[in-house]
Amino acid sequence: MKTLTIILTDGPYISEYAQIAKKIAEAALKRYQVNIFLYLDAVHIPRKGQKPAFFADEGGLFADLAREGAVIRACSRCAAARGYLAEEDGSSQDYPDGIKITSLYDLPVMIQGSDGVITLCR
Amino acid sequence: MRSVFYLLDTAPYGSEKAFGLLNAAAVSLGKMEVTVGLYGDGAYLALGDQDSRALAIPNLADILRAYGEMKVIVHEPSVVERGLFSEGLVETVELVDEEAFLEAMEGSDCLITL
Amino acid sequence: MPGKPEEIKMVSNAMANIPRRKMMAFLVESEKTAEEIGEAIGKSMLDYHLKILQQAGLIEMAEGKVKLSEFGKNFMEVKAEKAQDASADLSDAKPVAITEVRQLLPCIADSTKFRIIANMAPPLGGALKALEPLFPRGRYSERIGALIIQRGDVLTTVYGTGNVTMTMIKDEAEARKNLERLKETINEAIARGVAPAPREKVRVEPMEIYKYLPQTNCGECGEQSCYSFAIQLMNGEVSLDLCTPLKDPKYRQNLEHLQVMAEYI
Repeated sequence: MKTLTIILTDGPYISEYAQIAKKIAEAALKRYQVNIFLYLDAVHIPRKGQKPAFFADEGGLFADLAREGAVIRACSRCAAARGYLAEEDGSSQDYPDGIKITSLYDLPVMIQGSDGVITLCR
Repeated sequence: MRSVFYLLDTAPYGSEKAFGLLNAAAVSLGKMEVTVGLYGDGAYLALGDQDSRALAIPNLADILRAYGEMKVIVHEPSVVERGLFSEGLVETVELVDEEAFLEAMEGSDCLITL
Repeated sequence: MPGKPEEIKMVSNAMANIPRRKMMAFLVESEKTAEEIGEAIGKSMLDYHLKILQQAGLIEMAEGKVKLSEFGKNFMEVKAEKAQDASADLSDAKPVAITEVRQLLPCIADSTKFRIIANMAPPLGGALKALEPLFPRGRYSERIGALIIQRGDVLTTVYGTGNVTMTMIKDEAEARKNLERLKETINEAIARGVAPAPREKVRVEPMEIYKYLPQTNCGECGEQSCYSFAIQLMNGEVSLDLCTPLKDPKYRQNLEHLQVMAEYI
């Protein structure tokens, strides 16, 4: 099976990229393996308990993707800088199940094993 | 993917992008063929005499020096347009013209821009 | 005639480009037409490159002919002499001092180790090349204008501009100790005033590469054994990414070391 990797760097709401990534990933998951790497501000996207007044909850978007089989990983340096703590196994109380905080080393591994890479960032 | 091109087109300080890009490029070394391309305001990263102490941010020119094995190309017209052609550049960078820059981008399996 | 610091930098930036270096070398033979240069080196961006060389004062253009300026001729002659007779350079070199240790960056592979950046003054410039034989595992890189020295796990890069970087350092104290030793070795040679006679270099041996490989002899790279993989790597026949076991996180430190060695083979 072919693999697609999506790299995000924007936080939620500031751009549409989290939603675009969700749509691309959902379509791709029907046929491909999908990786999503959350870098820089994108580590905010899956945060639990977001209550935007006018937008869809983007933390929820990514919880679905993880359940549907996407491999979603957040950069540990970026996460720590923004106050997200990882448990021993990479899971975080701040994140939905299946989304893990791991090292930046996962990024080149994901890219290397991919047939396509999409970077969404401003 | 066997080769990756990291494109930086924003200035080195004032956001985390350049630092983030250099980190991503550094961890990719040895796994894939890595090229860092500096374009537009990214060309400022090539300047040799940077001092970021007042910003409490690592000196990014020194990161390029510390990873002397990393291939870094700079879009020369960007350097010239910004009046930087008579400035000293980081020892490891190679100036390339428009076409060579494009070729390096097209020649890589994937392009990542932060 | 370039003389001011910014003019000197302009010349060095004009020469920091492969096609332009080829053009200059081509023009050393004789004056040429732009067409001849295009034929020999490539037509892409030809006018642009010629303009940069002209602005830096390295060439002159008139009536469709391109030739080296007096300064350009001189520049190329000095460059050729330096390449031929490196030892002459050392007579002008001044003893160096470590002026600062600027930055400690965590080594990516092993977060308990650091890459450090320091400064050595005055800068040694091209004299570094003459110092190459001082170090059994030293190599001068023309591309980055730096002397690269390997000693145990520590890889030191001394740039002609005075910047010095070291990989796989435990802490600042170790960095300072290493820098001090480096300084003494260099200053002893400078005090003698002549470069050490080039001697038989200690080559990077396949055994040394083998030491850092997983030594599983799994054959996934297509070679019979890790040792034959090491030999092929030395010969530039294979690349490190063919070694699958090396991708295991437990070999991260080995991988970083091999990467650095491979880049400098």
